[in-house]
This record gives sequence, structure tokens and C-alpha cells, in this order.
Amino acid sequence: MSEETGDTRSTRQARRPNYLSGFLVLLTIGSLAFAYAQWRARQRLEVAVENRYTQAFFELVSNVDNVQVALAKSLATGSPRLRVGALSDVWKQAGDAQANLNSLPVTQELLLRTSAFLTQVGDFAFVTARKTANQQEMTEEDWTRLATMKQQARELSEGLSKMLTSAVTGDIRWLQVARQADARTASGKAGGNVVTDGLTRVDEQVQHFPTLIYDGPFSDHVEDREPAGISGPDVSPAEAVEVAKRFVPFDASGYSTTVEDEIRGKIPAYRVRLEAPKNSGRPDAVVDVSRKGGKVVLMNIARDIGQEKLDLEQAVARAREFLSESGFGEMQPTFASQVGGVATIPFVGVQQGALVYPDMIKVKVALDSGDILSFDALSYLMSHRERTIPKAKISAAEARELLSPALEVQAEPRLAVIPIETVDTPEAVCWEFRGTSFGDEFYVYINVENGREESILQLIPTSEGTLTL
Amino acid sequence: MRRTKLVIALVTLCAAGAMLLLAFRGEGDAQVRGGQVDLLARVVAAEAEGEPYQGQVAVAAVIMNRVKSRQFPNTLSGVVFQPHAFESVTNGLIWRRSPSSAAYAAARDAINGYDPTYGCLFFWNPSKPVSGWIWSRQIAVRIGSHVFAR
Repeated sequence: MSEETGDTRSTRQARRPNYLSGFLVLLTIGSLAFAYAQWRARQRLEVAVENRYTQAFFELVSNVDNVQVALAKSLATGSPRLRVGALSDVWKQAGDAQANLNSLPVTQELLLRTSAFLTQVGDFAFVTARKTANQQEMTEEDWTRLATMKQQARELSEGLSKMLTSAVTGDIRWLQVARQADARTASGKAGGNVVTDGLTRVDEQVQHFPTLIYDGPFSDHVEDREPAGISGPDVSPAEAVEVAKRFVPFDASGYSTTVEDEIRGKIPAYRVRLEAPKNSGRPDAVVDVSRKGGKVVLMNIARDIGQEKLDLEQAVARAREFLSESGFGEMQPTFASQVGGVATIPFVGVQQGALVYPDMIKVKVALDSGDILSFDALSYLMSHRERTIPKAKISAAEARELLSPALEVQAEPRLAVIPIETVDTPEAVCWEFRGTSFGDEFYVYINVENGREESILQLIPTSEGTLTL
Repeated sequence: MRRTKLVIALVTLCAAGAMLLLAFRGEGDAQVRGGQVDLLARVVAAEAEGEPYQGQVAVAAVIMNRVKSRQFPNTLSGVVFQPHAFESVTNGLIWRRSPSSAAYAAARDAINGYDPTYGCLFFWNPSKPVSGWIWSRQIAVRIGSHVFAR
């Protein structure tokens, strides 16, 4: 401050800082109160999260214990009625255990095998329960599997129970576990604690579980299926480029081509990119060509969609034309859906008049111009082959008798080959009935060999306009 | 003296203001949380921002593959909200990004079964730090800035 300040000024000066300090004191108190409130809120949240994780862990432990008990019961009981009950319980408890396990705040790699084990236990229990309900005898193998699973579940249960003690005594701080997992994901450094060490041990025990082959969607034979629709010698990248250029639904001359990558997937393939000439305003395309046999697996053309001009039926006609130009024999569209200016139409194969659902090709059509936008033959190539369609032992009229009385049949039955998850026959030939029941629409499949109701599908109406064909 | 105090007062005021702002911003984030397509589109928007369309479908396809895999939860929400599965879910980014129409299209394509990764269960950006364990997975394909592995 300058020394020339007068009297009046110094009086004012003496007063003003008082206002200021008063204000500052108030602010400080306010801030402190605010900080305290925030800290309390944070405490509450932390406790809530901690409780949620603890609950998940407790439930996991009791789920796994129940799995083990129910498996033991299913082995001990002599009556199919009780066995179905026990196996259903295994299915439910294993599913809950899997969900609870995967809600624990640890990095995923610790849980992969235990998760897989729990899914398979539930899956196998479900399939066995269905078998029992169908009055089929359990095989010697089924018994051994159940017994091994029970043993594994017991070990799992014991491993988890040991950790439970630490959870009760407060040795497990889930938020700390979560923070360590965060750090681990961010830096790649591993850090151990009661939980990760315990779960690692448990997961390692599960590792020694043998390959499981049984009827069920999660069985090993389903996951390791080889593509049936691909044969022939390997093609070179240059040949793949030629295949791609011939396949795309436009004149590809003038396009520059590159083999972007070699995909090591279920179907090893070359990923060919076709780039439009600069400023031509034409879209690029990506085409995957299988190394073996040089078949197009996937094609995608990305571009913006303009004003819709075509309706679904015209789109279906356009897609059908594209498939026949590409050398696919008779294919039948099953339904079509439209959203965002594009129509997606799954086509299925036809053999001896039967719809072959596993041989599915999906085609996407732009509704502004009718251009083909994408093509997906992965399912087709995984399963396509010449099939023998047996002569139906059960006639359509006989099959109709087997339907639920609550199902009102709406259309003539058709023959259909549908996928089922059994080891010996991954597919079944069925009569397909379309009908309604209490206002809902269904597809029901009756096996032509033995009259078994193999599958039932509900047609769920969505806002994304569907067209049933 | 006076100026110093004024500065202190201002700083305190700003800090308090910032704290208040931070406290209320958290409330405003809640959104109408739609169905499955919306959820998937949100993860795509947050995880595959700036990726080519094929790369966006690929990220959505990985999530769909996890739902089908026995090693992961068997529902879409189970997979998406599995702790530490996706960084954008852990840090809340999925609720701050509005999915573009491309993200929605990618989500729908993946739900319809289009899978440019051929059954992959993992993806990561090799230029960012990731846990060393992930490199032990078999890499199937590289799309945009991500690698995809089974």
C-alpha cells in the first residue's frame, strides 16, 4: 500500500478486511461442511458397493454348495421324478452361481474356467433331466460324468468356503480388490490378494476337467465343430482377390484391391478390401474369402442410406436375385425385417422340399436403391452338405395330432431340417407348424422319425417391421 | 495484503463452485436406459469410437460371442456389466456418449449374427497397456486399431 493514504481511507481499510475475513471464515466452514457431506456420501456408497459384492460372494458359495448337494441327490435317488427335480435344481443353482461369480470385481482371466465349468454342469444337468423326463435311460457315461461333476463341485465348494472365512472376518475388502484389478488392467502388472489368490487356485483345480461331449449347446463337440460346407484346394491371396472382385454386386474394375489380413478363425480366410477410385463416390467393400475352396464367407459394403424407396417385398426379390446370380441354388427367404433404411433377410437352403435352417445366408439390402449391402454365409458354410432327407414315418396329419390342443394351426405344415444339440445327430427333420396360442404366434417342430416335439419358437413382434414369408 | 486475501477468496469460491458443479453433474448423467440394442450400441460407441464400421460390428460381435460362450455370463447385461470387462463401462463412458446411427447399425448387425471376428471373445488396442495375460490368446484378426482373439 502507498504511504500517502489519508485518514478516511485507512478507516475504510480497517473495516473492509473484516468483511472479507468474515466471508472467508464462512466459506471455509461451508466448504468443510460440504466436504464432510461428500465424504459421508462416499462412505455410504462404498459400503453399499462392498455389501453388494459380499452378497454376490456369499450367494456364489451357497449356489456352488447347492450344486454339489443336488448332484449328489440326483445320483442317489432311484426315482426319475426326484432325479428330474434334483437335476433341475443343479441347472438353476449352477446358472445363479455363474452369474454371481461373474459379478465379482476381479479380472476376467481368473474366472474363465470356473465359469465354463458351471455353465457345463448346468447344461449337462438340464440335458440329463430332459432325458429322464423323456423316459430315456441314463448311460454308464452319464453316471460317471455326474459323479465326476459332483466331485469337482465339491472341490470348488471347499475352495470357496475357505475364502468365505476371510470374507466374514473382514479380511476381504472388495473395493480394494476392485482397485487392484483396475491397476492390473491399466498397467498389466499382477497383484495378489486373498481373493485373486483364492480364485486362481479354484480356477486351476477346474482346469483338469476333461473334454465333455454330451447332448447340449455348451458341449465341447458343439464348440469345436469343423466347417462342413468347405472343400477343395487352398487358394492364393491373388485368387482370393479375383473371387472377391467377381462376387461384389457392382463392377469392380478400377477398384484397388488389398489383402488386409489373414483371418485365423473357424473358417481361415483372406480379408480382401476393394477400394473405390478416388472421388468416384462409390463405396468400398470388404470381402472375406475362405483359404480352402475360395468361398465368400462375409461381404460388407458400408455407405450412408438415403430416402427409402423400396418396400420389403422388393428388397426380398433383390436379395433373391443376388443369391441366384452368385450361384446359390434354391434358397428360401424365411422372414424379413427392416430398420434404419435397410432390410435384413435370412435365406435358408431347400432340399427335397424341406427347408434346411442350418444352411442360412443373411443378406442386407439398402432400401434406397436396392443395393446389396452385406452377405453372411458363415452358418451356411459351417453346415452345408448334401443331406439325406428320410421318408417321413410320421405323416403331417399324425404330427398334427401331437400338437398342444391350445395351438391353433395357421398354415400348411412344411418339412424342415432344424439344428438340435445332440452328439449323434446335430440336426433333425421335422414337420414345421405355424400357429397361434393365446394370441402369440409360434413355430412348432415335430420330428418325422419319432414324433418328438423337438423345438418351439415364439415369433416376437418388434417395432422393427417384420414380414413373415 | 488486500489483494492476497482477495485472491484467496476467489480461489476458495472457485473451488467451492467446482465441487458443487462436480456434485450435481453426477446426477444429470442418468439417462433413459433402453433395450438390448441400445445397451449394445452404447458399448460400441464408447469402445469403438473412431473405428471403421467393420471394427464397430466386430466389437459388438465379441460381446454377442461372449453371451454365447460358456466362459462368460449368459446374458447381454451380464457380459456388459461384468466387472473389469470393458473399460468404458468401468469409467462410465458408456453413459456419456450418445451412440451414432452407425453404432446402432453395428449393434443390430451383430445381434443378427454378423461376426467379422469369427467367434472371437477378446479385443484390445495393442498400442495401449493391457495385462500381459491377454497376449497369450490366439489372435484371429486385426480390424482398425484393435486386435481380436479367441
